[in-house]
Amino acid sequence: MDVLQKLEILADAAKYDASCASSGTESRNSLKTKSIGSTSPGMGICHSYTPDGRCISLLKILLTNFCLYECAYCVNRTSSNVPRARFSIDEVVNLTMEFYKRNYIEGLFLSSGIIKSADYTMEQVVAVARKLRLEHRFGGYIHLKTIPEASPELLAEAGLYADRLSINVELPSETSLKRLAPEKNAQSIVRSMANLSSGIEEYKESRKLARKKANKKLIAPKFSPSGQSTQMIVGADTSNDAIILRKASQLYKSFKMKRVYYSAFSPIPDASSELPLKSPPLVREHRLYQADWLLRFYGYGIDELTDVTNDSPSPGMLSLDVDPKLAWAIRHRDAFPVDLNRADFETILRVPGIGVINARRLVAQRKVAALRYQDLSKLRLPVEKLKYFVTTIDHRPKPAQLDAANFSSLFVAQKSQQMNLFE
Amino acid sequence: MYSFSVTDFENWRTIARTLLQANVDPSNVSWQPPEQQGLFSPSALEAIIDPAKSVRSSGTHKIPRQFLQRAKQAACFSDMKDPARKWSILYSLLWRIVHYGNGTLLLTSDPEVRCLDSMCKAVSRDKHKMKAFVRFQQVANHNVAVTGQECPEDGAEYYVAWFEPSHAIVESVAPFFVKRFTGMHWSILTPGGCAHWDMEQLTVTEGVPKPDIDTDSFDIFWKAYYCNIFNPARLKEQAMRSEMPKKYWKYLPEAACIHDLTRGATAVTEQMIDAPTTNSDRAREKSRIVAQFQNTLRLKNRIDPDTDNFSDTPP
Repeated sequence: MDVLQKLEILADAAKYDASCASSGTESRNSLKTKSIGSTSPGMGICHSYTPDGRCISLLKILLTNFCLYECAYCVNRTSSNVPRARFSIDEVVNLTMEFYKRNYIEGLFLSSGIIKSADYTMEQVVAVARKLRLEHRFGGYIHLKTIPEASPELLAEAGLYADRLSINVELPSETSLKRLAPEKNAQSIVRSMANLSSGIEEYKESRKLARKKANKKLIAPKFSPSGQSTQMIVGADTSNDAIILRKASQLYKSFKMKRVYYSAFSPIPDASSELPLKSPPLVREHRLYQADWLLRFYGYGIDELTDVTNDSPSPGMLSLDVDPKLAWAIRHRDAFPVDLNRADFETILRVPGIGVINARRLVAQRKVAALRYQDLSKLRLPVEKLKYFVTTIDHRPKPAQLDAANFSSLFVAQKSQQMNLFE
Repeated sequence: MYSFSVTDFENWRTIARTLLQANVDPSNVSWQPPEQQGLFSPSALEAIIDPAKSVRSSGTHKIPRQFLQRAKQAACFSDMKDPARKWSILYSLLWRIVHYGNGTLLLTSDPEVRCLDSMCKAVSRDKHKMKAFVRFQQVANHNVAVTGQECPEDGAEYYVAWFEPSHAIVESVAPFFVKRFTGMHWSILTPGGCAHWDMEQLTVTEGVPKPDIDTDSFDIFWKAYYCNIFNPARLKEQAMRSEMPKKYWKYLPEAACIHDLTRGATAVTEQMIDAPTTNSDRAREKSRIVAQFQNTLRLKNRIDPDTDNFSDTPP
């Protein structure tokens, strides 16, 4: 089999991993090494987009899609009839270098099926990164998928070369993991995340100390400067959104995850009889990302976002029709309208259509002059949505409107628009 | 009325500095694009300074660095209809900052401040897209006719890219490519200027028309990657188009695949959903090794029913 055929098989096998981020790592360039590759602490670069709207930033491939595990949701599970291939270490290194030189990519995201043993597989993955960094002095971004059962020495070496390490939590509950991925072990996943987290923290702390004491010798060996991330599959088991978000919050809190990715369970070639296929729940996935954002940056609680009322047709789920922030506002109409000239920052942040930046702008501007209705459109805020929820010195929504039984239907027009955008 | 033709930011800065010292009101200055001959050449600048009119005896003004950075960014903006408009907006803002204070820049609803903002945004977006969408091709022989550059030694790799940025950004983006591709000999050719790196020195030369570059056969690997990383079950063509507008497609070898991928997506997805499923024990039944391996792992993973709960907290 030639490299082109392998590339086709092993890219196809890697597409169900949502992450392609190359942002937020340390600042590097090739001026000193006279090699190639640079990274920046800021925004990553998306070099292309596929027709699924996803960005291509990294060469995302598997080292091999041979796998001994039987995870029901996975295209590469051992019982699947998909064609199999295995790259040699040099093949991956060459593809990465050649793609990078043509400015196709920011770097490599390497993952692998489990062959022989966890350590053997991890050693192969690390060997690719080692060769790129040490032989080719490659300065681009490297993301390595980590195998939970691999030895600590291998993890430490992976952390030395990689900008980011990640372990997929896969499913929101241990019960689901046992049922759908019987070879995986929830406890060992958690243990490895904890190990990564302490390694990342230790490296960060040593850098802080070195800066404080102005002594570079105090910097510990590098360890995954861009932190760790993980991925949860949505829609393969029966977990509701509240369970998914609770799991995500726990991961953010316990392991300082940079990101939890939600991946709508998507049709695969040759599915398992254990897990029949459906269209991927893309809107649900999108709502989870929105809720994730509100939890981390807007101070919402999980129970506030998911519908916890007992008589709800879908308890513990986010609304698919409207975004979680608007859904919360519709359920808590008693908290509105909000007087933009008096309310505190946190209250303004809860108004549907006002984000962190605009909330800050409004608070700054009202110190200069009381806010008027037209100031809202000058800030390019979505006034059609906002007008029901806010008062300014010259605008006050009719109380009857906010109290009307069919209030939420006012946003149905917006709903169909959003569905088009995200479907 | 004074009239100046401006070539670039440094040129504008020199003129603006002199005008400020002479306390010349923005309404008395007409700014012209470089090709038109101004009434005053920069050498005649000294003549307009009248020490008696000077606002401050020192003749220097404290200008916020933030303004200068943004002005430099906006100076890259190309306005097809009115190429010199940026210079007059910049001078007017400069004048207002000196006379009415740094707060001028905070007036987000002011037309000139908004214009500066939108020019900076357009230039910054253009730079970002250039970093993303420039595609190098390896050219077999150093083609002097194409790039006007000297030959490196025989057999050395040489990479060339053709790109048409919307604004005059080649000079300011070139250092990014130098830091990233230090160990490569390359040229980026554009109609408004070219950047060349010979692994030692960055050279910026005049713009060129679109050259004939032979396609690098390596793009078949890139296209194969592009087609296979795409998930047909998640087709969202509009999301792709908003991030990767069609005007950039001509630089991207992979764009040739978009049409077929999009058209075939629904059929491929339906096929996957309708296809018969496979028994999950298939491999276990066929292979003793797989069954043994999985049995060992599953045994190891067996969890005491009493502790089987949702508490996935670290030990």
